[in-house]
Amino acid sequence: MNSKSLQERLAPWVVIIVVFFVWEFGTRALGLQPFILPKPTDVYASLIRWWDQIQFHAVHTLTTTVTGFAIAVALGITLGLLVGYSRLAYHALYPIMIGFNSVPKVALVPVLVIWFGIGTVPAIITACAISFFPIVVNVATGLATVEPELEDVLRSLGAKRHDIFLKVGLPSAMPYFFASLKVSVTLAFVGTIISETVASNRGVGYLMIAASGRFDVPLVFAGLFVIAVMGIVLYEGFAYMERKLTGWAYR
Amino acid sequence: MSTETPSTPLVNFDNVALRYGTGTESILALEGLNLSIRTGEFVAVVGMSGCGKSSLLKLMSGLVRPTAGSVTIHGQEVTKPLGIVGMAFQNPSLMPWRRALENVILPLEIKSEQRRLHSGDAREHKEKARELLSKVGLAGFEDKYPKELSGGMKQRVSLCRALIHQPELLLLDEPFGALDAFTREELWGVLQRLHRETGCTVVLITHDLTESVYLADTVHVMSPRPGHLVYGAEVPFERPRNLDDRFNVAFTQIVADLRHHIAKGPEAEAV
Repeated sequence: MNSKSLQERLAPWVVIIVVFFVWEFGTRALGLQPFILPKPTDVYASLIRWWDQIQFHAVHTLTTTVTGFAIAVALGITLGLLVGYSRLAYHALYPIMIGFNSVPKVALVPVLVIWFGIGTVPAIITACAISFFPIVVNVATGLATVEPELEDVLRSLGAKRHDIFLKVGLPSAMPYFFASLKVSVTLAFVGTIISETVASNRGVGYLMIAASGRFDVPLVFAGLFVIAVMGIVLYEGFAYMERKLTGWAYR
Repeated sequence: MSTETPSTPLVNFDNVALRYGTGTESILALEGLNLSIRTGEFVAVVGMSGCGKSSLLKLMSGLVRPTAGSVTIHGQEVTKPLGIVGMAFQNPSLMPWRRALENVILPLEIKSEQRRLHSGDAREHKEKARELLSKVGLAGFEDKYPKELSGGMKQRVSLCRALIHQPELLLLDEPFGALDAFTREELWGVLQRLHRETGCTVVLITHDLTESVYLADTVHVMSPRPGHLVYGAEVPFERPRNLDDRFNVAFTQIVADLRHHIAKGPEAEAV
C-alpha cells in the first residue's frame, strides 16, 4: 500500500517468472505434446495468433461478469442490510440462502437456458448467483460488529434505531463489504465461464470449449490466462478501492 | 467538590429490582437496591465482578427499566433515555472511521439532529470539542484516527465524548480498568479536574478501591448478585486530592474498611 519494500514489490513477479520457467523447461524436458500440456511459449504464440478473437470473447466475458456482479452487489447489499438489521429477516432468510448457495451453479445453467435461451442472460444470472452470497454474509456481519457500548452511548442520548444504523452500523459494515467485493468479483468470473462453457456461443468459456473440441489446447490455456489476468485486474481494482475508502480499518 | 449544597437528590433508587430474561433462565441482577445521589456528588460503586454494577448505570441512563421499585431523576421516574447522561466504558469504543475530534462531536450531532438543526452548528461543535480535547491534554491530536492513539489517549477521547454535551450525570463503567497504572493515575487527575470544572454529578463503577477513595465523595459497596448496597463510606479529604494522599493512614483505613465489607461475599477467598 504505502511503503512496500523493493523485495515485496518484486516478489510476485519473481514467482510468476519462476513458475513459467519451470513450466517451459519441464514440458520440454519431458517432451510433452502441446495437446497434452502446451509450453508457455506455445500459449503465447496462440495468444498472438488468435488475439482478435480472444479480445472479442474476453470483452464479452468481462461485460457479462461485470453486469452479473453489479446485480450481485445490489442484491447482496439489500439482503445483507435486511438480514443484519432485522433478526426476524435473519432467521427467515438465512437457511434458504445457505441452501441456495450450496447448490452447484453449473446445475442451474441448463434450467436457465430453458428459460432464457443460450447466450448472455444465463451467464449474467450465473455470475450473479455465485457471487452475491459472500456480500450478504459480509454486510450482515459488518452490521453485527457494532460495539454494544457504542450503541448504549447513542441510545442514552435518545438516538433511534435507524440513527444508530446510519451513524454506526453502515460505516462499520464498510470494511467487510469491500473485503467481500474482492472475493466476489473473482467468483463472478467463475460463474460466467461456467455458463459460457455449458451454453453459449460467445465469451472466453465458449472459446475454450470450442478450442478443446479441436484439441487446440494452447488456445484453451490462452483463454485461461486471459481470465486469470482479468480476475487479477478486477481484484486489485477493488482492493485499491478498499484501501482508499476504508483505510481507517487497517493498521 | 462542587460549591452547591443541594438538599434534594438528583438520582434516587427506591427499592429497585432488576431481572434479565424470563422464566427459569432469568437472572435477578439487582434486588432491594436503595441509593440516592446529590447534585454534584462524585459517587463510586465497588463490588465483585458480576454483581450488577453496570446494571445500575443502565437504569440511570434509561436504557433498561427496573422490574420493581423506581428510579427517579429530578424527582421524575426514568422511563426512557433522558439525554442528560454521558457515558464512558472500559473499552473506549470510538468509531475507527472518525478522527478524534469527530468522535467527540458525536453526541452534539445526535442532539442537534433531534432538534432538526443542521448547518451552522458544525463549526461551534468543533470549537467546543477542540477546547475539551486540549483540556485533557490532547491538543494537536484532533485529527488523529483512533488507531493512531495510545490506549490512554483513546480513553481521554472517550471521556471528552461523554462530556461534550455537558451532561448533568456522567456515568463511568470501569473507564480506567484496561490502562496501565501510570496512565490510570494520570487520568484520575484528568477526571478529578473535569469534575471540579464542570460540577457534573459522577457515578464511577470500579474494581479499584484506591481509585474509588481517591476520586469519590461517597463510596458504595455492592453485594454479590442479586446486587444491593451493603455499605457506604464518606471520603472526607479535601479537593483537589493528590496522589500522595493514597499513602495516608486515614486513606488506607478507608480502603481497608471497604475491602473488609467486600470480603464478606461468598467468593471472598477467591479474590
